[in-house]
Amino acid sequence: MKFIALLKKELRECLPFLIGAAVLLLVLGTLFLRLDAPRTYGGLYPDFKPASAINIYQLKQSSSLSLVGSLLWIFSIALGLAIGIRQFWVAFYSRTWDFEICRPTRRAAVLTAKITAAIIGFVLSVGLVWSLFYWYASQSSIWFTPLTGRLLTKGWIFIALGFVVYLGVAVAGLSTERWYTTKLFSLGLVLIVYIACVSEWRLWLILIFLVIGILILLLQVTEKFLNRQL
Amino acid sequence: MKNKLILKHVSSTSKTLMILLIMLLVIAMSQGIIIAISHVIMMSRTRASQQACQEPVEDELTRIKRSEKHFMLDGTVHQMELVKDDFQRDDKKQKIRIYDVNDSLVWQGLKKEIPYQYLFWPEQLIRNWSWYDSYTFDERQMHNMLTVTPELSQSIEFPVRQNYEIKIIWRYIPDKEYFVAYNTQGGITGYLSTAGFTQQKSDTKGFGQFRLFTAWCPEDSINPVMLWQTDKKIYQIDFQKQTVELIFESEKEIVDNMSLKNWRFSDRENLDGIKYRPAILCRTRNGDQNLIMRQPEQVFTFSPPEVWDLKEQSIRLTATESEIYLLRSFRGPRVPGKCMNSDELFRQWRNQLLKKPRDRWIELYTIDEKGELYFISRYEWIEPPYKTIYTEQSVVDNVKYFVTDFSPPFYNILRQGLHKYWPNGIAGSENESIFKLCVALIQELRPRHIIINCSISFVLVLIALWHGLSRRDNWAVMIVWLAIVAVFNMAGFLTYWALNHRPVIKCPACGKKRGLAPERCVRCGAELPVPETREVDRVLIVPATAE
Amino acid sequence: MADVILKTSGLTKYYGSKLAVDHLDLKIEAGSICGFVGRNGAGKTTVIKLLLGLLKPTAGSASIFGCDSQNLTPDIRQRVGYVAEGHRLIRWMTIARLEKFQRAFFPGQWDREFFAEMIDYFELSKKQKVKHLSSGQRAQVSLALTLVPHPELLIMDDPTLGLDAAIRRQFLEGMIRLIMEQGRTVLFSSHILADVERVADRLIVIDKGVLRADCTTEQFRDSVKKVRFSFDKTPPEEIDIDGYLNSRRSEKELELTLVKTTEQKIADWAQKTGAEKFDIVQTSLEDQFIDYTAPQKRSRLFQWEKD
Repeated sequence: MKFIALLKKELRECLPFLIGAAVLLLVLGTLFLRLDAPRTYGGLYPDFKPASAINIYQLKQSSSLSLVGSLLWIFSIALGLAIGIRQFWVAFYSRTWDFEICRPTRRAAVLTAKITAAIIGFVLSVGLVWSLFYWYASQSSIWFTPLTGRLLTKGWIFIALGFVVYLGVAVAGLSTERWYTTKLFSLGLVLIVYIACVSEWRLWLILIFLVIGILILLLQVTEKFLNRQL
Repeated sequence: MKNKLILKHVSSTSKTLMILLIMLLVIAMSQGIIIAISHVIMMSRTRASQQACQEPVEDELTRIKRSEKHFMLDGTVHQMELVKDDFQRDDKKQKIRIYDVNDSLVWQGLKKEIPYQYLFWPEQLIRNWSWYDSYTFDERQMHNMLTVTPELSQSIEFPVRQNYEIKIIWRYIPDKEYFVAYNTQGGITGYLSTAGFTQQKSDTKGFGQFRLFTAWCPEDSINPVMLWQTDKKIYQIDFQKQTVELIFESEKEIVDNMSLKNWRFSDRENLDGIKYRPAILCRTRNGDQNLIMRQPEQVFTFSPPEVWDLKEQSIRLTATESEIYLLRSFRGPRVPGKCMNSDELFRQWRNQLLKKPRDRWIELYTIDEKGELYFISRYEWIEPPYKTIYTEQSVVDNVKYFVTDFSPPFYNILRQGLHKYWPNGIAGSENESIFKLCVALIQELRPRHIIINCSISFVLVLIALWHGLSRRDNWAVMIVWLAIVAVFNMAGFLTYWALNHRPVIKCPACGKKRGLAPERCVRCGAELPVPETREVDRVLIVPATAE
Repeated sequence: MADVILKTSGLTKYYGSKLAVDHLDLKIEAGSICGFVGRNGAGKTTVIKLLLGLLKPTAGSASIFGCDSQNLTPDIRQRVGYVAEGHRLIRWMTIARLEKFQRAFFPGQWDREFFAEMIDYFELSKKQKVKHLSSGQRAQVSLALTLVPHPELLIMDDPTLGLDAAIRRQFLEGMIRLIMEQGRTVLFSSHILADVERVADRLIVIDKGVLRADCTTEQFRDSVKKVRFSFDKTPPEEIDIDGYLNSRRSEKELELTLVKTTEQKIADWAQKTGAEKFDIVQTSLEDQFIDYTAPQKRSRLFQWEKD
């Protein structure tokens, strides 16, 4: 019951961001969704004539969700920043940290509620919208070849990277260093994880990078939150 | 309590690693920025030392050097010079001059009107760096396509059309390494793999590690045919006929590169009147040249004699209807082993080489069925010495050598290890992504002056020791930190500084600085000072309970 | 003998290299109402936060109900009510929502009727959002939320900060009533000695992180005296009377702050120094506190102090 109360409180606090992100993504994504044909550069196969070499560029097909992917990328990062700041920065600046922590419950429970709320937020906000787009595009497109499973996975990787951003902001918020350069170090790790993930093509390796990044940041968040003094 | 302690230690270690990683990145970026700035500033001001030209016929030698050398079927050599002040995009409209081996002008005019029949060699399939103009797709592009980007997902798809209407789309599945066919309703109609065309997924066999492909529409079709190269095999895939033909298979060695002659469009390539057999020339990693021919079908493998130094020479093969020809050319002396690991030695060697005229030659052979070589002709020429040679280290190099003194000393050890593991170098290898970036950083930013680099490490260790003596909790942790500073140089020192900036106070007992974390002073063992109690306080401190 | 609810032993806290709390030894019994006073920056809030486990001590220890402050279990926390300085509550919540949130942490302990009564008493509406409440109203809600679970120990950090006189009176009256009814233990810090005098039966004085007094309010009142000596000549420079704390002199008068000095000793000294007469000045608890915590050699800032 205590945990549910904490979870409800956290979800309610993040609700404006979650709804905002979901609605904006839905609206803008719908505008950018191209169901008629995948994008190819130079039109559909103009060089495919007898005795002609084929420009490779015409063989690379983008999905109808390619622009939605750009939005997903931006919104995941923005959501990570927003939720991280709301949960771990605002409490200190508005000095409600004492009220939040002095509950007859373990600090770990308070932290778990925050992180659980963030995960639920990501999944139900951008995650759900993304999955909806994927499902809709796969049903509605007039192009022959179906959307790949890899496409769906890549979208979720973006969402996971948004979660990494959230953890990085959380660590920065809980950090007690005075100088902002050292306070924001965790965002350096977020950047490294980001670069590692977007420059890698092997899914299993991307997952490893994500897991390592999340583990390190989660450890930091946990230790800092449990030992945070004010 | 125990869990808290474990969490604290694990978290502390992960935090140290995280900060260390970030500091390494920050140092690398700073070094890169400084080097880049020095590049920009010094670009126009780099000093060069002028070396005298050695002989007055330099212009003639330069012309010879820049001309393309072509053999005729009888072994006669001509030099073909492009008229530079009339450069044309269309090769055929280019004006040229042709010289013989005595450097006499024998003909000049448009390239398409050359009255001589020269031997032409297969063209290597390499990826064009142009974004929109590329006819070869290699593994690097495949990897880029598969990475997580805002564009999310791309795939390679080949259409099969009838009367210009798409009937089937063949899509490559990278994870499974085969092709899947989709009809216009989105249903799967079949698979293309090494097992040929199958209708069941279970019957497929993947192509293997992809390296490169090129595609074209044959003379009688608007549907694509493709050459698909893997590690050790080359396939030809016809999407309209739904066939997969194994063109070449190397038993042990990896196929390094592939060149084509007349393979795709036979008529278009026979411009000079010589009838070439359709051929693919592929070189395997051991240096063997494999010529896969048609009309008739034949695979011919040439293993260069051991005395031919393949680091100094290149070999090309081509096949006409009657003969197989071999071109052997001398590219220049190989880099001595001791110069491979030292920029300074390499520069000295290169400058010595470039200061003098250099011999070059090409030879033409025919090869019979048994692999016997029959010498036809040889042409030798001299390349002139360079007009300007940078014999002094440029300022940019000096800046680079200075900033890399702050890199971790172990970069050099890592680099040597990498050379062992990847002797052909990381560039262009299958290992792209973050690993390549890290390797490139290590190679570029490794310290050049080992003594200065280690001295800087030593000084930083001393500073850390001076700083940490009064703040330490215990010697074990202190030693670990000093080791980190020693191994990681500036990055390690900055990490230490970021995580160990604890306050100190003066110990009332010994008067020396002490940290606050330990209960007792690390020097004299005294506890934290107790405040002085006033007489009057003793009167007014009357606890409710006296134990 | 009553149980010791709160205990500190050599409690020390450094902020960086700045000493905030210096070897504090305290014991608070069940049922006592302790006023925790000190000047600005004395360390009151730091001590309270150390007690509640919100800060980690540099040395020493603190315990509540026998449980180390750094490891307070949820059960212990359920028995402690804490009112933070400034009464910071979750701004977006309504009073009703706040009640629901707080209630979840006190299953079986929450008295809904009592809460409704308190909100009624303070003339608040449950539909009001916290961000629309004044600081006084927030203080009232904060008090209600803290008292309704009937905690055995109440710790309040400057609960009347920023409240006007009327609201302060109301707050204190409410607090007194509830405390008296239940016999709870209270530790509250304050700058306003008048409030402390009204409510507290024990006084804890802290100055620059050091414990200066821990006694009953009455003992403090009786012990700290201000005596005015009148002279026909310049008052003596050297002051050697027992219990001397600090002094203030004019041309022919000398005011001494003395602690636990008997009248006899005062009379003897007056005679010894040739004072014409001496009077024991009636002072408030506030004046006593100021004199008690004044630095012995403080420089005079204003002209009237120098005169």
